[in-house]
Amino acid sequence: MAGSGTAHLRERDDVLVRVEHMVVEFPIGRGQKVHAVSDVSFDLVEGETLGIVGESGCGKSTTAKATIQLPRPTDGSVWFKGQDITKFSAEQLRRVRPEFQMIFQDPISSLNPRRTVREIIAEGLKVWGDNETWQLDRIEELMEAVGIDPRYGDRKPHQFSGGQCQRISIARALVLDPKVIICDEPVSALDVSVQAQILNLLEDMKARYRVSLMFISHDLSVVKNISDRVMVMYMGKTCEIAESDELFSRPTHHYTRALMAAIPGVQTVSADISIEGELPSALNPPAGCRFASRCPAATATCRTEEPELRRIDTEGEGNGHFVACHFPALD
Amino acid sequence: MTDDRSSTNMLEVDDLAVEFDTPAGKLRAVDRVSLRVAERETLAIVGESGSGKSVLSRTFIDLLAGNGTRTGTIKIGGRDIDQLSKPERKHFFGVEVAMIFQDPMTSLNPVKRIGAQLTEAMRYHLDVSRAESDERAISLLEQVHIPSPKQRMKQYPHELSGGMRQRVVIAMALACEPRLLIADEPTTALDVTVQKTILDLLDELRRERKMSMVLITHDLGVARGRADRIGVMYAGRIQEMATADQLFADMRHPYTRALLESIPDPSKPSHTRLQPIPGRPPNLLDSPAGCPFAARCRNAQADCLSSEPALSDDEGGAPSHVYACFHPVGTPAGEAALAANRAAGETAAGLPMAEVEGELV
Amino acid sequence: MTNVADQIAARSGEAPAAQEDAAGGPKSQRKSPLIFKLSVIWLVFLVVVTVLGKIFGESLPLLVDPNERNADKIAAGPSWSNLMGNATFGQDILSQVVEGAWISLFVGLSVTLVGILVGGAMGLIAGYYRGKIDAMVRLVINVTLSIPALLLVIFIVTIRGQELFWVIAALSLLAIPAIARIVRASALQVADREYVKAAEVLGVKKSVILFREVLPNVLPSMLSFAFLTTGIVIVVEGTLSFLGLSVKPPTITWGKIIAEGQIKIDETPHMVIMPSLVIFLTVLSLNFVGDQLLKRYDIKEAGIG
Repeated sequence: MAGSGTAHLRERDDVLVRVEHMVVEFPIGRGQKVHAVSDVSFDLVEGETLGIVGESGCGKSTTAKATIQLPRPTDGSVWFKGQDITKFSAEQLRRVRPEFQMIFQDPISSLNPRRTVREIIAEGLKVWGDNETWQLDRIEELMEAVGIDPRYGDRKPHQFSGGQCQRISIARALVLDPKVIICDEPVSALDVSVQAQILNLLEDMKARYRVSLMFISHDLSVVKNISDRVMVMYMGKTCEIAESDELFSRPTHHYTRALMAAIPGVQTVSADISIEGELPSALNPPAGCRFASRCPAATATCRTEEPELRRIDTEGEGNGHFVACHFPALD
Repeated sequence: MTDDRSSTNMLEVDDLAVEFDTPAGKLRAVDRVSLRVAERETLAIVGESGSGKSVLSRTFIDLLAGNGTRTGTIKIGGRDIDQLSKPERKHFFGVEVAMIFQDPMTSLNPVKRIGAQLTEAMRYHLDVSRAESDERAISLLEQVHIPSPKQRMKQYPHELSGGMRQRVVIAMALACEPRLLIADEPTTALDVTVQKTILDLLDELRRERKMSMVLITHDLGVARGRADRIGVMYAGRIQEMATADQLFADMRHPYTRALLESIPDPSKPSHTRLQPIPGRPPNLLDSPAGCPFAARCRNAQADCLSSEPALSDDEGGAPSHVYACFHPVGTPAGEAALAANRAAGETAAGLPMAEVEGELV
Repeated sequence: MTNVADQIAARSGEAPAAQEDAAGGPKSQRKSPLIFKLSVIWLVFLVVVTVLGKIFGESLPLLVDPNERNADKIAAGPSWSNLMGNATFGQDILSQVVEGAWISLFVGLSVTLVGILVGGAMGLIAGYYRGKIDAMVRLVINVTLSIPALLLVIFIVTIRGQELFWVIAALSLLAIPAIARIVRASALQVADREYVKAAEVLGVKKSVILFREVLPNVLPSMLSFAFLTTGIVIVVEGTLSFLGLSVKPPTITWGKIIAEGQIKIDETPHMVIMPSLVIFLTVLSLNFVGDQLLKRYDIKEAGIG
């Protein structure tokens, strides 16, 4: 299968995680498989926030989870500190877990209802640390950092609001001093005004604790706000990847443009682009470009040859703007 | 509240209040709401969860939970819904006014074919034969741009995508040609590109059928693009109501402003600091005295804590722009209040200014 | 998220979602219905009387030697001196029922215990680890449940002998797959919850997750089903002993009393009715308690989640 390419992967000393040719397929019986992620590559540099955006069925959440091997991808490699963690044994994998933490979409169900908040945050330390005083201080420090009054540490999750529960989740993720935190739609279930609190908090925590973030969301405005670099996915493939501001000012993939045109109440692209039609089957994805069936600029080539990611801005400047399209809209 | 619209209002709500009797006490979900929707107009009601917008929208089709009581009047097409006789009621809701809900999966009966669900309402309300209702159903599916409508009639809801299901729901709502459509977060559960096509569809249908629409949403962006007038709800009350242009150009209520400042704007650069609204919406079981937003408001003064502002308009300004605030944004009173709070370092409600505009500095 | 108003709009009449106050705890239905209280009272009463009867025997008021024959009162109906009447040879039925309760309760509880330990473990592991282990467990469950239950039990007891041990063993073979199936379903559901995944992300060992996260949340449905199982086992044991296939005489069992009374039922209806009544009340109480436990757990889940 022709891949979407790895042209956008960077050769830098501070690359933390490098995912190459990731494939995730779920068998659903009768010999059929759901092709959730089909040959996706990306990298994450220290202190960077990579936003992954796309609509339902694009595989963004699966990509993020597969990066931390939950579950292991069907194929591909995930390089961390010079090793491919897809090849790790169960125990080796468990030992590397503290480096990769996760925040989930539903703030309340991601916390064990029978535990107190302090216990929840301390859980990571219980597994990996010894019960020393400095570690208990860390819990208090984290609670304050995320804006939860330590006096309420003995309460249970149901006594807190959604936004507060998400703060607790963030504290829990930070307690092990991870290098990467995967945020899987962390603000989608929250009220608009609370979203802002959590987004600001994530930025602050990122700076203070020097973590890199992988931020998954379907909300383009939110992704633009928090990300340094954004990757747009469609049906298990990467369409476009560029720095946040660059992507939003110069979207060149037709799907990216349609996404931006769809943001309600804002004018981001000049043309009114509406894409009709349905997502093709994830069991039997079409050959060639997977967006061809709905793309306003599709040609015969698009339906037979799969596009690879190519750089479309000036070589040597910044992290680059890459697009996987035979006929991108280069204004 | 004065309204200079023509007297042919499709929806007239006066002093509507809804109270729920819960084990924890009486909860006032909707508090003295009055509004008008003219013919062919779209009114958007914007609010976060707990604002009462969903409860409000459901009263328009006389849906109320068992432990709720409603006071005030609701007139649809000039008819008071509480004065309808029993036979009239049978053929009012669903015919004169119809509603579409957020989740298409639960609006549709999973074990009934699409065709059956579409024709059900028609055969109940209108005097049509089976063949005629089938024909109408197919025509409706065409109007909502569902491809291969004849085949779809025989399909079940789970065989369609989310966007398609919502189109079917819209078709069902329009089956009996209502003049007023209530849409409660119709696109929240859908992808953003699908959202656009559904909202486009609603616009198109509204124009073709000369319908009025009440659009409930939490997304100011949706309201901005699609509504003629927007009402902002908070704690069960309408805090500001204006035309879409007026609201965004000239907002008056501090909550409206705070809401806009807390939403990421894609036209702004990345990593723009957002200004969240500190605190949480008030407990409707135990409403505090005074303005419900005072505890979180940048402009809060002493009078905000003791008495509740009524909806009023700009003196000499547009009478169609009303807001409930003693110290509104963009007015001398408001500027003075803000300056006073800044000087004091905190609002009259004791909220430190750093929390309420700290990010903007 | 104090979207209380919207939640109320959507779910008419139910208690609002958890409030954000120091009062703590969701406002769940704390009042137990009367039936629940009565059931508990009956079960406690039964257990106490059975245990005391076993220990103290005839020293207790109203109880005499269940085997003592009394020529004056052959097949006598209930009277003040013999509350449940007398059997074919004048034995006091009340004493016999108390004696028989021992077997029924012992078998019932033992089988349930084995069922929970073995079946529960099977279900937990299958539901959490899934994959091949799950496939195997499912196979075992389906095969065992396909065998006609009563015939299997009769077969084992006939071949192996009518000892208490084998009666319990045979009945356990029925309870284990039933419990395993319920526990598996519950474990599957719990394992999918995000806080379980969160524990995995933290690097907690899977075996630890099983005991600390999954098991406590599976326990309520397991325990509630255990009560129901005990009731069923008591009935089955009663049937067995009615057919003469349970523990042999001179051990007295409820089924045996019924069997004897049934021979000349028009003369000794009370011999049939009395033990049946006790069985009925006991099983009914077990079902109510099990049911209520499940309801309480569901409410707690709804209030929390």
